[in-house]
Amino acid sequence: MPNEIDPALEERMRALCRRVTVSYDLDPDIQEELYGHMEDKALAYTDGSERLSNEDTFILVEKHFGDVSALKVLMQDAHESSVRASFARRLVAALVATSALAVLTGVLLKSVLAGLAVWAANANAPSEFHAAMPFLKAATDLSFAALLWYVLVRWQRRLKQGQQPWFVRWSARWMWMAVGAALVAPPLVPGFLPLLQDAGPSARAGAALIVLMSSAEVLAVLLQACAWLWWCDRPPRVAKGLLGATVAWVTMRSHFTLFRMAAPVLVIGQNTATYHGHALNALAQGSFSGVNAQWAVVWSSEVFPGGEAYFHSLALLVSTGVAYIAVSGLLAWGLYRLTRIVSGWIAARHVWRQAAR
Amino acid sequence: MDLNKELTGATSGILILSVLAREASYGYQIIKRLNDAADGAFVWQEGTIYPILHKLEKDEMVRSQWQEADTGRRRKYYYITARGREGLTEGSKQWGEYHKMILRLAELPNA
Repeated sequence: MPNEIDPALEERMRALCRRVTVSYDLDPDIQEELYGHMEDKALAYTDGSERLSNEDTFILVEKHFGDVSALKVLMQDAHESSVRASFARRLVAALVATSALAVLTGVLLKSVLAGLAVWAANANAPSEFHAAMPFLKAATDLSFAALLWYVLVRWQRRLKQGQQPWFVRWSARWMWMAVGAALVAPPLVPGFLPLLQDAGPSARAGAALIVLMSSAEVLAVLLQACAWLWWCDRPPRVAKGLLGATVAWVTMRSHFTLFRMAAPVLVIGQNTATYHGHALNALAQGSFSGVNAQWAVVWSSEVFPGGEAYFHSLALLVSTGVAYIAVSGLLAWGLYRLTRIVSGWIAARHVWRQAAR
Repeated sequence: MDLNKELTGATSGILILSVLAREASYGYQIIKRLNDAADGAFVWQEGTIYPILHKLEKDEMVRSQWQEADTGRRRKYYYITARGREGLTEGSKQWGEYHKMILRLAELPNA
């Protein structure tokens, strides 16, 4: 057995021994003993008196080969994935992700609001409740967009790794069912109104809070649009991807908007009797649109369903319906134009990059 | 045949004492002797021998002293004590009984 050991190796082994600490008075002795063992082992390997077992060989091979997880990433970058999701399947996946996250974030927001409403009712602090709403709404909108990005990026990575996510594996029938579920699920989430009523009459929300809420919503909408475009805009179906993403996204947004505007009507019918004047006050003074307030008036009219007030209410109902369709149509058109601008910008960048190569 | 780790863990004290009963040794040497005797049936995680040795020393089954090895380096040699020999005899006896009991129970009625 040679009597020499490399000083660098010695230092590394001593450092390893120092990691086994017991107590200050015992340590030097124990560490010296452990180091002696390691030294014997190292010398035995270098002079060949210690035979390499299969286990030893594997450890050496593994160590010399390098970090396997890092290598995996490099290999995946170097080799294209064999798994490709068609445009239609990507579209369904994005639709399902958007709907599922809308339900998830909606339920979360409403759960938090329910808790706050109970607190506000008990503490007689409705103004605090109404002041917190815009922040919660903004946080929910932005979380929704961030989660959508996260899910889509994760799926994209899985495809690149050669894995087959559900939207690649599932048969056409299941995909249709997924589309159906995605369209049906979001409207099942309950509306805000009962919570508002529980909290008591609102103070008018400040302009700064409304700006905050609106800004967050616009930002979230833009992020969603970009996520859809990024996810669907895959060669060789760039044009189809852009068009499909735009249509699907606008459909989704319109769908949500329609529901959002219609939902409180159903709720008011059930709750005004219990809460007397509170619900009307909450609607009239809160940050809801005039359309909803009108619906509330119609529904809670005590002379309903007869007499002059009835016809007046009916006329109001019809005019509100017309206004509602006009507003939602305008909104959908505006969003469609906006998406076209964003998709056009992305397509232009794509073409410009190709030309630059 | 690969021996069950729990089985080797339960008998490790007796195995070490039996090596030391033949000759005083230091850690690396004890491991080498055990691995040679096992002939591939099990391989020790070498560092784990030291807590066992220190426990045996605390129980006065072995005693240790630093001295120069054949290689010229200072190593901590372990010697079996009288109490250690008693422990080894008792432990071997217990394992023998246990072994017999297992064979008796495992034997098939019509074999």
